[in-house]
Amino acid sequence: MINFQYARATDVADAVRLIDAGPSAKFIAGGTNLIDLMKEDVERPRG
Amino acid sequence: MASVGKPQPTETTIPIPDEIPLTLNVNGVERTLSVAPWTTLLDLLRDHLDLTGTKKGCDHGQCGACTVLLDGRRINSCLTLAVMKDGAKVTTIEGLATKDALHPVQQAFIDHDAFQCGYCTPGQICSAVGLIAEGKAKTADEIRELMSGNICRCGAYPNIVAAIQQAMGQS
Repeated sequence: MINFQYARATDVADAVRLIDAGPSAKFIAGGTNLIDLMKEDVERPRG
Repeated sequence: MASVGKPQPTETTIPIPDEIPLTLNVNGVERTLSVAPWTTLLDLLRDHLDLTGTKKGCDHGQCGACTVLLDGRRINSCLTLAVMKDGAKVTTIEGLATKDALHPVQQAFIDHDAFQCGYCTPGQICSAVGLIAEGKAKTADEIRELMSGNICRCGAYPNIVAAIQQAMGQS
């Protein structure tokens, strides 16, 4: 899998701030979709 | 002559982030460690804690070999980042038996010869434990449906269903 940074939002406002700060940041939610796509190099969120 | 060689990266690389500290209760033992963000729970268990009972099959959430119990619920550990689960309670196949006895589902799998090669078995058993705790499956058809995330290439399905029915009867 590609290298990436992980940040945990504390509330909705924090989540919006974090997703706004990284142009290729993605919400991970449960991860079962995003992590699979990252392993296939379909999604490349970085931060 | 135009330079020929490795293509240049088209995006700037980010520095490798620091490892993130986390604490997990794994099979009743508090484990504190630091891992890179992209470490899956499966890789943490296998490579960092040497708990190799949990298997890596497809690594894409399609086979169920990596199934573990997280706070009592069954999950695919290959699609879960370890850093997402700081503070959680993880039970793997190594944590099911007590000192004196196998878990009823483990014993039922032996009683019903519910495996051949055994590679899917840790995931099957953890998934079955989660299934029984959910309490949703009553019939063999429902067991088959709710165990459909766990693939057995040897085709031991009839025996797996029989084993789960036995264990359900005991719980």
